[in-house]
Formats: sequence, C-alpha cells, structure tokens
Amino acid sequence: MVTSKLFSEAMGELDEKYLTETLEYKPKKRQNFTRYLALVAVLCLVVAVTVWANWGDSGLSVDESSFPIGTEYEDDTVESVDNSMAESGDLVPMVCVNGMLYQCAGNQPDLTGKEDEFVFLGEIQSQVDTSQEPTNDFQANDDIIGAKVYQYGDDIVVLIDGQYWLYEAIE
Amino acid sequence: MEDSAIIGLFFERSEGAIRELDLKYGEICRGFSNNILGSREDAEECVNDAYLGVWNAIPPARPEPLLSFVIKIVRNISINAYHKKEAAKRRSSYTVAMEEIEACLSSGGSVEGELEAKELAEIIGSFLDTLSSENRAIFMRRYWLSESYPKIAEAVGLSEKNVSVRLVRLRKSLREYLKERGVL
Repeated sequence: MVTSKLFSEAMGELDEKYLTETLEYKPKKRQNFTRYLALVAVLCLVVAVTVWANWGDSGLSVDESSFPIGTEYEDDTVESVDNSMAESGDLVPMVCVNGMLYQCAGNQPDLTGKEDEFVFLGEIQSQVDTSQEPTNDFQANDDIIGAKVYQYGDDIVVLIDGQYWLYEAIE
Repeated sequence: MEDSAIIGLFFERSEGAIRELDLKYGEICRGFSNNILGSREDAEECVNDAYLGVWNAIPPARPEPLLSFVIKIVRNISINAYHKKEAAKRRSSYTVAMEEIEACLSSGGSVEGELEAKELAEIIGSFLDTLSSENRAIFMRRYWLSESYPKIAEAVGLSEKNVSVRLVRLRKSLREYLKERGVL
C-alpha cells in the first residue's frame, strides 16, 4: 500500500533533474489575443471619432451633440471588452461542442460503470490558447486534440488519457 | 553572487559562505520549510540546521545547481522535524498535500510485497517523464515543494482554478499509472 509517508520518501529519492527543472521553470508567455483585439477596437474607434470630428472642417455638417466625442465611447468599449477577460490571462479548461461551451468540473464524480449512459458525439479537432474560450465546434483551450467527447445528460464527458472527465455546461 | 563564487567560499571555509548562501536562497528555503512545518520559528531552525549540513558537505561536494542541493537538505531536516513535532496538527501545506495524495492512492486491496521508496521513486520518475514540463512543474510544486495552489498558479502562470483542475487530473493519471504497474 502506498501511504503518504512512503510517497513522501519516494519524492525525496527522485532524480534531482526533476527538482532542478521545477526550480528553473519559467511559464510560457501566453498570447492574450482578446487584449490585442480590444486595443485594435479602441484604435479604430479613435480614428473614426477623429474623422467625424473633422467633418465640420471639410464642409460636411455634423451635429456634435448627437455624436459626443471624447473618452466616453472609448471607456465604454474598453470596459465591455475588459469584463470578458480573465484577470490571470488564462481560463479553466473548456470545450465547445455543438455550439455549447462546457468547462471542466472542479469536483470530478466517479464515472466508472456509467459508460452505457454516454452518447458518442465526436473528437476534439482543434485547440486554442488557454487564455481563450473555444468558439468552434469540437475545439478546446487545452492540449486534448483527438480526445473523444460524449453527451452525458446535460453535460459532456471527455475521454483523456484513458480517463473520463466531466465537463459541465456553462449557462 | 554566483553559485560558483558561494561554493568557492565554502571551499575556503570562509564564514561569508553561509551569509552569502542565506542572502541568495534563505527566503526560498525558509518559505519551503514553512510549507512543511507551518511555523516560521521551526522553519528558521531547520534552515539553520540545513546550513550546517551544507557546510559539512561542501567540500568535497561541488553541487550544481546549488539551490537543488540545499533545498534537498532543508526538506529532509524539515520532514524529520515535522514527524518529531507532530506538525501535522498545524495543517501545513505539506499536511494537506499528503492527505490529498493518500486519498488518491489508497486502494481497497493489498499488493503483495513491500515497496521500497527508491523503487517507487523510479516509477514516479517515469510517470513524470510522460508529462509536459508545465504539468511536471505543477506536480512537483505541489508534492515535492508542498506549495499552495495560489503559489503554484503564480509560479506557472495559470489561474488557481486551472491548477486545481490540472492536479485532479494528474492525481488520477498517477493512480492509473501505478495500477498498471501493479503498485496499487
């Protein structure tokens, strides 16, 4: 039987290379494309507002009270995009299947013997960065391309490395 | 100061060796020992004992990298102190991590024969070889360095929730790996 004491002793006997790698590990830089899109959106808006503001000079009339310029629109746009971004820059593992988004359940139930209740849907075909939500069908933000996906009630189950993982539908 | 220069001070038997070692790695060592013992005072004591261990080992040892060598000594001393002082009652990060792993690895039946720590270490090592470097770092940080979820998340650049999910998967994968090899 593997007790925590035996496990702890074994961890202490591990080859030093694992510890060294861990101590020297640097997280990979994650491309947060949502932030870049937000910046591009703001820049486009600034350009558009500047063009509107200059219409009066070119002889075209614009009622400025109907199109207030300044930072209001800019702030609103940034806030609305910001609200969708995870603070840490990465998201919980998710998959998109048949237009629905599912996230890996924090508490995993024992799915042994429940295979009769699974309905095969397909396999994960593509992957996006962990900082993004998958948007295409059978897409994940996790390294699980090829994993089989099954319907399980209102949720789905994904077969990863020989084990079933419950992903709950996101309301 | 570079590791090689610190090691040079040890070889010269200079008192500055311990001072420089503490300046460079003292905080990491004390934080790690505290993960195990749940007490800053006890951690301080263990790290000081560890420095004596390093002093006695260098020379002739010329470890590279130095931090891995020192932190292994800190770990051994801290875990011995943990059992002597019944530090489990303090619910340190180490206590919680070990309860986590025991719950995952406890099996209903019994496997014949007694498994040695070295044998199990080799099997765990081969399990770690199947993981990505990111998952390996997460596993080692939790079950070797006994770090908390927020600390691991900060170190690997992921959210706490993501780390939590990854660790659930890793424990399950480890369990299956050990079962396939007749350990469980």
